[in-house]
Amino acid sequence: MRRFGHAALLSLAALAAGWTVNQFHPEGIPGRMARALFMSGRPIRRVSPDSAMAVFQRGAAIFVDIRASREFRAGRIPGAENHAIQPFFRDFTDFKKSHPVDTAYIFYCFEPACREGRAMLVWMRRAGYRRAAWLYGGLSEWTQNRWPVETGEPVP
Amino acid sequence: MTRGRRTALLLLRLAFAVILGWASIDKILHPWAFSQDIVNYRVVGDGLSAVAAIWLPYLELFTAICLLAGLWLDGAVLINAGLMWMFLILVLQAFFRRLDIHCGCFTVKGESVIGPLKIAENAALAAGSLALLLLEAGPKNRRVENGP
Repeated sequence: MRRFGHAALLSLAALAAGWTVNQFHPEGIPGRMARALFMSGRPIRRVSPDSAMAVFQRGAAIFVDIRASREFRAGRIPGAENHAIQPFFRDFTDFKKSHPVDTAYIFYCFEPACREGRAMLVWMRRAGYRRAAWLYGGLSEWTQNRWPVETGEPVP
Repeated sequence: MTRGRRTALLLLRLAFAVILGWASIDKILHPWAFSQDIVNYRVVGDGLSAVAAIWLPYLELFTAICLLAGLWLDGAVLINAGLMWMFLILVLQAFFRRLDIHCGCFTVKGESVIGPLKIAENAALAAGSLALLLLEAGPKNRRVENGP
């Protein structure tokens, strides 16, 4: 019995340490985000690069690049909008006014994991955007496939 | 406990402490990427994968420290065996479901894919962890006091 008691204590200590460190870790999963993901029930919608390309060719979704504007200007999926994470959360009311909830959106970063994109998707789904998804593989896989990339200032 | 068993127990403890400690570092540094690795196994959803990505790397680290220092050794070898067998089952199910995913075992950056070699590696680790558990649970040294 003592063995199981020690194992349980070790597990609890690990959970407490992980929870605490992730609050302050710059790349961490904050507790409230983990809770929101846990409580939201439905999985975050993700699209593979191949599916995203098919959607891109059909023009069936708005691509949302969530990186800083400098990186956005250096290379993006053609036609993508730029909504960096901090202004996005700050000006979400404006975003909601100009973006209908029934439109499909595909969020992406450069790197495959894209923690900010997933955080934004949780937020979007809570606000009623049921067709928002996240591009798994990010722009890195998009460029590896030598698919079209647009640079410079976006055309209004 | 014989000297041979004691040596085997010590060597296995040190080996698993190094393996678990090493495996935990990259996962602690990149929890979001690790949570995606967990989702890729298609066993749990985003919610549980986020909790697991917060919890598992620290469980590995704390278990490694306990194995190294000999603290709560009975609990640490049990967790070690549980983790190793869980990893083996996850890798096996991914292999038989033909999931084209990276293992995510030691690093989160597109490490080795799951194939027969990875299964053999995980099976060896699971067997080793079981041996460690049995050695630790086996008969301990009893000091016999000499009579008058």
